Amino acid sequence: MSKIVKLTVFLAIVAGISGGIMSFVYSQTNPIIQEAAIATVKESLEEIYPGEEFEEESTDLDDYEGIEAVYKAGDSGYVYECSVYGYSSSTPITFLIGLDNDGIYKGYIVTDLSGETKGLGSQVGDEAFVSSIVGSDIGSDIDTISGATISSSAVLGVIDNCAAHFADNYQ
Amino acid sequence: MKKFDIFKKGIFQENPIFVLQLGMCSALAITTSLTNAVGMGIAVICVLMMSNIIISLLRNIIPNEIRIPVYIVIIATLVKCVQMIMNAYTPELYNSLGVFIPLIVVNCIILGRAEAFASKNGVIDSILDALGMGIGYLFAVLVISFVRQLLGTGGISLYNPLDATQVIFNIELFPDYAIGIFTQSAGAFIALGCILAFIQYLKVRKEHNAKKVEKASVK
Repeated sequence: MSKIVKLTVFLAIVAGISGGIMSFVYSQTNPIIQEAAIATVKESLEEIYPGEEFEEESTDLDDYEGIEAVYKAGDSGYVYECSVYGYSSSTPITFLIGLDNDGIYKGYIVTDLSGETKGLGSQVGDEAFVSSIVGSDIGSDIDTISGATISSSAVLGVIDNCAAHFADNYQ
Repeated sequence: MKKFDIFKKGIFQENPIFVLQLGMCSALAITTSLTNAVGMGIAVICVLMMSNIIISLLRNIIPNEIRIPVYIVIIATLVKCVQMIMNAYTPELYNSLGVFIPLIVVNCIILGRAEAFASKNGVIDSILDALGMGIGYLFAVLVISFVRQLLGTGGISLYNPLDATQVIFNIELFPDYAIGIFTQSAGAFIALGCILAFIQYLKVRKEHNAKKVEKASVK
């Protein structure tokens, strides 16, 4: 009996030390990994909220189609990284939409528009559409672009999901 | 066994991949390019060295009945730490090696050397053994990668594994005549099989010549 106890204790000590070492390495490397993960998006994030510190939020996104990730922008608000298929069924439209704490769209940046028809679907990245979004609050109705119905309604659909997620989690 | 022999045997006579045939899964999976081979080889050398040192230092206090679980915990901890460090400091290499980094835990070379050597020998000998076996592994995956990359993509290239933007060399020889299957799993098996057959041929020929010399000297 005592032999089994001794062996168990030894193994438990080894496992304990191993856990301790891994926690230490994790604490040192995790900040760097997090930084690198958002580094690619960081440039665009800083266009919406210049000078803020960004952190990826871990949140349940299953019910919110089109949202890839949510970033907390310091105390100013949140940015949603989105991806939705517009006219092209192979290349999604990817964009970032920022919401501030008052529920107003702070910024909207399209990061990949290559799948959409130039001059038509690509209007979802145009100044006119951008200014119709930025400044409005999450309750307001944003018009789709005539001649680019599929692309713009896809984008607006996901923006609605972002508003819903924001309302459910941060308001 | 003399010190240098311990080191040397891991490279040719007891090469972990070509002779002992351990760690084959990783050898087949990551040998798609020289860069991956170098990166993985370095990771395996690091893990093998550290695991051999630790197990050799602890060999007198690890109870014999639970030695395998203890070795596995030690190796798993080392690999997890290496994985986290690679993810943080060498993200491109981490992404190209993918799942095969955590699979180093079950790479039979590590556990095999721990059980067969480090648990029974001193620290210096264990270090030499680890270095020899690790370099043998690196040599083996370089050979397999060279064959697969040359035949599969028609060219050969090497980037700095720690900094994916640094090109060491990039030679395109016959990209139009590349045999695509060598970049995939089936081609890995074919390439490895042919290399092993060639090594066997060399071995048989060496033994044959040695016998001839013996017969001649007896006469």
